[in-house]
Amino acid sequence: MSRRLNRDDHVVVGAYTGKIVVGVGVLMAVPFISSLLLREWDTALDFVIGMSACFIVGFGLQVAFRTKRELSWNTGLVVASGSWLLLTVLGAIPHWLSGHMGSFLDAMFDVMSGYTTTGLYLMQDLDHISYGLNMWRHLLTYAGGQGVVVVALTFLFRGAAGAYTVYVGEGKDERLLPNVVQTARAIWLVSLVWLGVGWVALTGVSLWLGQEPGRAVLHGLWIFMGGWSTGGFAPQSFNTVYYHSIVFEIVTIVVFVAGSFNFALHWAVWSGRRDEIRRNIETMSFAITLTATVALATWALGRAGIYPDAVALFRKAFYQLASGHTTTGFGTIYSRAFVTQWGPVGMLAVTIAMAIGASACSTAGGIKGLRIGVITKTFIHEVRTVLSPPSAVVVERYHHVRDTILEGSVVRSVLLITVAYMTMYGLLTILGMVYGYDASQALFEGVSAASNTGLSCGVTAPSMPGVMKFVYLLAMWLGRLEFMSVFALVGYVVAAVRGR
Amino acid sequence: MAEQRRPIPYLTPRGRWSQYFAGIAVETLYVFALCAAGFVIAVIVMWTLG
Repeated sequence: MSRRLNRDDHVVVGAYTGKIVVGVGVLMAVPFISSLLLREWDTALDFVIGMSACFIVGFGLQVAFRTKRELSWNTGLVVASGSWLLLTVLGAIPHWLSGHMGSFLDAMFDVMSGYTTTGLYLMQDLDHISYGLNMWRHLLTYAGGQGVVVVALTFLFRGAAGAYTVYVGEGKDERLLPNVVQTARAIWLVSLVWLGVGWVALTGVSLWLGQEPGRAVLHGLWIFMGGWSTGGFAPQSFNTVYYHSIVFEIVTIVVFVAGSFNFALHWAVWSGRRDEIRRNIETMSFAITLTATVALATWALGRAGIYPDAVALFRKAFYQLASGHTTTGFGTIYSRAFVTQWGPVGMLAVTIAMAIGASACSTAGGIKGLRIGVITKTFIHEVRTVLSPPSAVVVERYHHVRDTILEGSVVRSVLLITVAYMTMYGLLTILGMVYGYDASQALFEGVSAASNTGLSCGVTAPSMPGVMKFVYLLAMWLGRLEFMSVFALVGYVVAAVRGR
Repeated sequence: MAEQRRPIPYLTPRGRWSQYFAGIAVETLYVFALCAAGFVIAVIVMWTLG
């Protein structure tokens, strides 16, 4: 905060946070209605309590902080990050009441994991939770992938001018259309059309695999939500191993790779610019780094001789790597197999893929392909500058929706965020090692949490130390919001305390 | 506010749905190309390692 806070700032923050909280209360109506339809009365009551809490807090904030003022840049960022924390507390109520969580911290961990599309979970006896709670888990991650604030922007704000800052604060800084609310609606249009196609496809495969119709429809919906949002939640504790089907795996790969695309890319392709998918720096970067990490993992697994032939090797290696690189977290191997079968080099390949992540302005996390692409272009630019005559002006361009000249301000911003991610990965690794995990496992799990991936090598469990749960929760939040809005919130709190 | 009331372009009909499905097809083809590259790598690695 560069200026002293006044009462109006607090009023604006309170009012907008209230709107977003109400939005999540409305979202809880979906699992509530599901519970009623499926006659899960206890679960329905849990959601009545959760919705009541959201409406009391949300409308209470709006009544207490009445204003017609728009958000400023600073207050918008504060609302974006602060509302995620508040929504985590309120969203955890149905989890906690279900009796499947060891503590309220565990419930908050799972909810933050859902909002941030991470996919790590501490829920116990997952295979026997209610349909309503499963609906909530997957809806959380589906809505979180689009951005919780985008939900509110789409349905509640109706064109508020200051809403753009909240949108940026949630890590989505590209306008697909001139108006930010139109952009939010375009994001939802893409997501809903894909929902229709993916849900039908996965339901069809589930039916073909022999699931009874009602179960196939629900599994199709939930797996789509977990895949498209790159969240990685699944209704069974065995995740996608449960289905044991190469067709199911292929469909989920298509869904989660598409989910990891930049919404601007979707919009360009859907608007007729189909060449964009081949030319875009993000898809090029993703293809190169995915291929490189698949090569590294297949070499390690081939040497270890775990899989009998190229088809089996490809099926396992490509799925885990694509899932890790898109920061989805679906897995067709058991968690401990990373340690016992894949070994340090295989785990390193997955860790690199998770650390890089997928596209900016998508449902995915991690450093992002756009930043890796820009850093690569910067290296090329520096080499070309060194090799050119001193008087030459070397210009480097990259293509992302349109041709853009590489500028110093972009490079500085990209490097700043990249360093922040690398620092967080390092600190989480140190934390894991302090608590007794070996380096490769601590690195794997820490990167998985901070890049919002959700693949686990077995570290994340209800028995994990409370400090690690809390720090992973913060890491998921920081990683999803890409630091800046969280720093703005810290600055806001510090300024508020100093101002007294 | 007048601008807000105008129909949003992408929600108007005129054959847009076919474009959306064409877009999904293009995105799916990209994923299959990635899968093909992964499979070629697996074959090469297994062949190299004997």
